[in-house]
Amino acid sequence: MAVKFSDTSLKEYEEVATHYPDRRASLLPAMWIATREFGVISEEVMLYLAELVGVPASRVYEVATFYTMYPRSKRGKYHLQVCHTLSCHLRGADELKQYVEETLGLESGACSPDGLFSYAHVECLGSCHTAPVVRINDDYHENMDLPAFKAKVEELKKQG
Amino acid sequence: MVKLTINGKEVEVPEGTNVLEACLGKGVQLEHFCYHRYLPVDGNCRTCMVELETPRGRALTIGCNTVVAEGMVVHTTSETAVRAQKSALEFLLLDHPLDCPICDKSGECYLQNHYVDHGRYEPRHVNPRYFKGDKALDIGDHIVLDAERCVLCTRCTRFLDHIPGSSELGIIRRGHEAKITTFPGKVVSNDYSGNITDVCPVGALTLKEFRFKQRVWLLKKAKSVCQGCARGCSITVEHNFNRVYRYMPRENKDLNRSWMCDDGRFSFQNLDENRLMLPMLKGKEVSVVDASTVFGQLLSSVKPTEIGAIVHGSSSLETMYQVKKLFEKIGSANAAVFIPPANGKGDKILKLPSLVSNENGARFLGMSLDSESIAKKAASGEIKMLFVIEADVLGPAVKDKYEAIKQAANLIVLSDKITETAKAANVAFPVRNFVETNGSYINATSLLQAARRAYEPENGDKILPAALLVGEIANLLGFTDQRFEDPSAVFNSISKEYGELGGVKFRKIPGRGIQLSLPPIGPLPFEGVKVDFNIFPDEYSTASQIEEAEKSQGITVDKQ
Amino acid sequence: MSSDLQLTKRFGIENSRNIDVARKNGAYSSLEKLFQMKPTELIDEVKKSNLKGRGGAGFPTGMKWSFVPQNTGKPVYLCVNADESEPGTFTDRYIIENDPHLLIEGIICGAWALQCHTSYIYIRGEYEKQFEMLNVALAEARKAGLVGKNILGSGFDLEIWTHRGAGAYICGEETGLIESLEGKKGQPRIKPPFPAVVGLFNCPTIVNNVKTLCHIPWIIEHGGDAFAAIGTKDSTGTNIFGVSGHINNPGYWELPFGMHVPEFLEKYAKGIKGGKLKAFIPGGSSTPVLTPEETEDLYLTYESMMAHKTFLGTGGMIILNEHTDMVRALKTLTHFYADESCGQCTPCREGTSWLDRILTRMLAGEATTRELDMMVEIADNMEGRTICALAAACAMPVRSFVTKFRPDFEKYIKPAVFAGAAVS
Repeated sequence: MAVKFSDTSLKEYEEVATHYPDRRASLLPAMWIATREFGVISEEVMLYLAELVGVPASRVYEVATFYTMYPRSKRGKYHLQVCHTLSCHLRGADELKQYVEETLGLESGACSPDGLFSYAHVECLGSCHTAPVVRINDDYHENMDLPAFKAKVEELKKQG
Repeated sequence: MVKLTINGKEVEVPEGTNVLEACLGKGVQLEHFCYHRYLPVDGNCRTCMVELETPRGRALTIGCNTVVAEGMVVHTTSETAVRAQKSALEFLLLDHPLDCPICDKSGECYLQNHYVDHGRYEPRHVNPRYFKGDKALDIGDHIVLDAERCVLCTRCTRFLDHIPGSSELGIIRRGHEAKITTFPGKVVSNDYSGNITDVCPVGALTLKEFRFKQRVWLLKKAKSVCQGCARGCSITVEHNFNRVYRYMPRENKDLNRSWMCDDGRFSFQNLDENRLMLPMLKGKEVSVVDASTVFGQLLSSVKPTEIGAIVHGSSSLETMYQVKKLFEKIGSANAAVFIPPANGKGDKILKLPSLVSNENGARFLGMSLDSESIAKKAASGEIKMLFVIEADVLGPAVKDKYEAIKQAANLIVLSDKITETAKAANVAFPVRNFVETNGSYINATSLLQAARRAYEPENGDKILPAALLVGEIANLLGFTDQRFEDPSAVFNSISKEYGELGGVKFRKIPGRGIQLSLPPIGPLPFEGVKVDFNIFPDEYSTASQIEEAEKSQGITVDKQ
Repeated sequence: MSSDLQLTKRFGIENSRNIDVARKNGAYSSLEKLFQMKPTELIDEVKKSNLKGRGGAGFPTGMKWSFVPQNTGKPVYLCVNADESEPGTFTDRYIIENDPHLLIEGIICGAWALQCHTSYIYIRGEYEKQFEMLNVALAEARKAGLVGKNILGSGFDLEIWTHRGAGAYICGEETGLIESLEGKKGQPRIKPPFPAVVGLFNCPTIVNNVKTLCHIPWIIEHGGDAFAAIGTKDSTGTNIFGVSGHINNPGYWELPFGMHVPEFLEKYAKGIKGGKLKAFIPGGSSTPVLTPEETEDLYLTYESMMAHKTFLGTGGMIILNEHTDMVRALKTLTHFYADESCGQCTPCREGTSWLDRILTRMLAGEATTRELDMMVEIADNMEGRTICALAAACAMPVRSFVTKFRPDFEKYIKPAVFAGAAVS
């Protein structure tokens, strides 16, 4: 098999697997480690996880596609997740969506050609009182009205 | 037993039955998709909605996950229940493609059946239909997937998870995007894959071998027994134009539940391969008149005590009985049953290593299984005329042991195919295969089942069932009481002679067979699989009720 | 007054996540009394408090705990629901950010009551930072002998593990959460059997919301009766109420139940932003919306909400002002539910998508009046017919928006003669 965990990741996985009486329950944490290590949950990664965790390949495929956060395609260096559920919509999330789609030219699920940005249209991020909220990689950026969002994107563009 | 009231009528059902089975068993119609008697309950289609009376008023719930309780009051035809059943159907049809004209399942489709009673007849959704893709996708040796027809009932995934345990299919994504698929690049490949097309209530999973071949309402059905191995699963032979289009497993709770293996299911494909249609003399086809002339001459040149016979272990009980009776009258011990070596693949589900379908039949009749010594006697000249009945002993599997029979003075072969043995015979007579004649078989767990004739072969009067041809041979030898109209009449004689059968007539053999008490050959079915089935009242599975239902669909039941 | 605060009393203290700071300010002080109580005594105390589940369903916690059969020979599991994905709800996050040790203390108390020795905290995947914070707090607790074997010499063993979700609202449903913990898709299970009897790994399981468990230490220290004396008869204790949307001061406050809603909106949320109030959603987007008239005699209690034919839910309020396009607002919700539906059962899978598609067409001016009426009927066909409550959670806002704000919807319906061909 072409892909496999590094020794550190394998050690981490085996430790996590001890948290559950049934090894098969460690599939989600295993997939998080795989996300960190491989960046994309490809078919090869799924086959590797199936063997490692001891579940059928179809089960791994189900889990990888059921949950939205495991990347099935390449992500940009900055993965922009714009919430558009009710509270964020009421506070102007539509403008952010428009900005990304028109100015950055990205549709939900797409990655920019230079690999800098990718964009996902996500559901409620659980920070409704600081709407609009944008999650960039693992960080919440709150009170992101259009000027603040534009400024952030420019900042990230400069960082490269 | 538990007493409950369904639609105002009090009924009694076994404890542990769910409300859906209780309704079906008592003749109350309740449509369902995801529920299957022999699979764990999933409760996701939400079609079998019933109203229960509770202290807090009426409650709407699904029937399949509700176990009956003493004094329960169930309503399936109340306005609320019917509205729920109708709306479930409306939801299922929302994006279901209008494929009926090109869908194999048409005629036995749950959606069609449900629609006849609960359809809106005025569809009110004006959205463009959502196309899920994966039309006519090849996903295995035998399976074709049409994902947009799928109603996501999970019957196929549950079957694959529990019975073969191979879990090739999964439902990916979620919500309206959810669809059934295999892991990319993988296929559905196991010994029981055909069953998923049976359990699929719609035409999402279909068999390549059946695709576009025949409309199901044109198929005539005959209840029969699979000849693939010693398990002898109950099957239905579905045919038209004197041709078999498919085998379907027939429900038999104690034997094969509702399943059959792929080897058995697709064995219909070689039924008509290499058929022996006319008699042969040393491999050369001749007319029936010429063959019988030659045969008559050969027969008169030997003494009855110089005759021997080897019958295949998969011949019907009737054939074996005719041979046994003949040799009893002759007064010699020169007949035996040939049991080929058990080199099939056995598993702990249904398949057995022994591919012989009637070994226990031979034991039941008390016949010898030592066919090799008969062959030796033929080689040494002690037997001057050897009958080899439906057994290709000169075929590749065992020819080393049976080569010697070529030295026999007279080799007479009864066969449905042109085999090596038939080609080597002095005279080879064609006989019918098992779908073209009535017959009975006793399987590895000593269940006696009837295999009913589906159709007659082309030259029906010239190609006889082996059992009747043996009777004709007996007649030529002067034993005139072995001529019968049909093998079912032979069975009736067997039944009279062997008390264990209770004098049952052939046409009355129950669909699920008669349990006899011979020692089992091989493990019991489903030993390796913990398969619980849902409890259901007997009314839903007695042979008579099924026969009732089948009669109304025009299925031929042999009248004898 | 800070003495009234139960969940947020240590918020605002510098470095409050650190275990030493937390302990200096009272964390884990209930454990001494806890281990002297019998588990059944604790359950009785919680029953007396009339504490209701804070995750949205509002089921009495003491009663739920008493459903767990002891002596089955199987281990009992306690799962903490930190999945928090209901739109409008965001306060569990702050407990984890500001006072994770309160949560750990609550878990220890709950586990003792249930005689459970393994607990899992299921936290939504997007809360990655909070997941790290929890792990740090647990490591501190382990080091201090508060988690693991023989807690504080009591002889009680308890392991607490964190489990990160991966982006699925449906994993906030208790059996969906259990399925996700078992390494599968988070598809809720049919009931019966109920999780208290057959749950995680087929063992008796209780799933409690973060806030619910965080109330337990206070109940132990002050008694169930004292808890029941706060709030109203049917809505006891405090809750963390949140407000978002068109409001001048969006945020969260811990308050006893019973406050008058208009007063709350003025006093804490500092009034409606950008105009007058048009619509009020009480407790997360799944609760039926109310008109301004209906809020005039509305109180922040379970019973007042029910009397107004809605639910308190999580107490995460959403405010919509007079300039809100109700159709677009509803569209974000139907999109949410269609996206989050697990797809298992027919009415939800098909119904959420159907409603969403009707609204898409409506916004494009292609829907008919017939479809508008159909929306309510579709909602009726979804509610109460499914394995879990997601379908109802979609049906309730749809029904309430369409019936109470019909003129907004009718604006999008063109006269019939211009509408797209209706299928007969």
